[in-house]
Amino acid sequence: MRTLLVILTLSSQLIWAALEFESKLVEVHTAADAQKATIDFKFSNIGEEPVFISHIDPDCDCLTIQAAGGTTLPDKRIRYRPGESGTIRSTFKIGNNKGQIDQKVLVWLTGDPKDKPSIQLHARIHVPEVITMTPRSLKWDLGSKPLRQSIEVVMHHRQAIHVTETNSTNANFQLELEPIENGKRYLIWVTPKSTERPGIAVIEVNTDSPVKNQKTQQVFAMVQRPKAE
Amino acid sequence: MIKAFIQAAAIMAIALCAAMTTWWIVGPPERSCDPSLIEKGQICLQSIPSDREIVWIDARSRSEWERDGLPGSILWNMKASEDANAMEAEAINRIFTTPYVVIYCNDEGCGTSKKIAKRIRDLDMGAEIYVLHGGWQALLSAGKIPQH
Repeated sequence: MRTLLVILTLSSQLIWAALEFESKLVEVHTAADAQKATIDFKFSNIGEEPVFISHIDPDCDCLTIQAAGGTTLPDKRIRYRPGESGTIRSTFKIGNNKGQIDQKVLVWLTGDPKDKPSIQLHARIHVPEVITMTPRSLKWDLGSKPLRQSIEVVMHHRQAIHVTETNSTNANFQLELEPIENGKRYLIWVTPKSTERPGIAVIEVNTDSPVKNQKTQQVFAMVQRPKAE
Repeated sequence: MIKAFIQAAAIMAIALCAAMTTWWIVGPPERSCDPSLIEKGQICLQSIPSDREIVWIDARSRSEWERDGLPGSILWNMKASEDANAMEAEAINRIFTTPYVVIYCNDEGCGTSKKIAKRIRDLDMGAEIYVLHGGWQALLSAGKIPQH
């Protein structure tokens, strides 16, 4: 009898296994100027017992979550009966993010410990980068020769994007723009006047990009003490 | 007498079995931060040297930072409404002179601080960059957040 009780107790805690997701990793590709990306995680309760979602949390406040299907109970839990399907929809506000963005969605079922949700979903959003700048930081060792270094700016848009202005926040770093292929590829040459003192500059690059949130890019230039080995 | 021993042993065995099952399903009990158990790149609050100047980055929302951010911290989050370039520039300028960074967001589950840590590491500035284990909750528990 006791054995039976223990087994029953254990099996009630293992009900989570009954929620089956079509995929726990969902990838979406957006337009470069998209404001939002919507990622749907579809699932069904394939078990023989109802499953209760107690709450769902994103791992970033840039993500909002909505659960569809099931029945919302007065205590805010959502019940999914056996055979019932549902969707967890997460909406990502893109803002200035670009490239591959990985976000987690954590799903707690009734009985889950506070810090350990049963289900972890993974949203992968690809926002095209219309402009890439490499490297993102240039460094000179303190006291080294103030040799010029370059940042490559490449446009990946279907139409030409021009660099309209470059600014340095520190007068010690001089900038020179060299178009390699106008509207497609540029080099920005950065030369420190002196490397006798540590200093940092934000190098701001303005463009006529039609993608508003990628119009202005920035990289960093710094004269710093050599790293300790 | 023997019967009593057998019953006691049976009760202990059942209790042990239940405890092990709970451990297996729920995980170990919550304890204070153990540096040997945390993820690489994280730091326990008690491991942060008290004699070093630190750049504290609050990766929560602006309203949370304004309400109860750690005094002296700066804001850097991934909110679409924020000026990401301005937040990055301010932080990088600070890190350049103070190359020891601790980033926190709400709690352990929050991933924004890890993303910001990666962004700073990618600049290869030679700074020490950590994500605070337990996030803002750990600062609150340690009495580092002033109560208004």
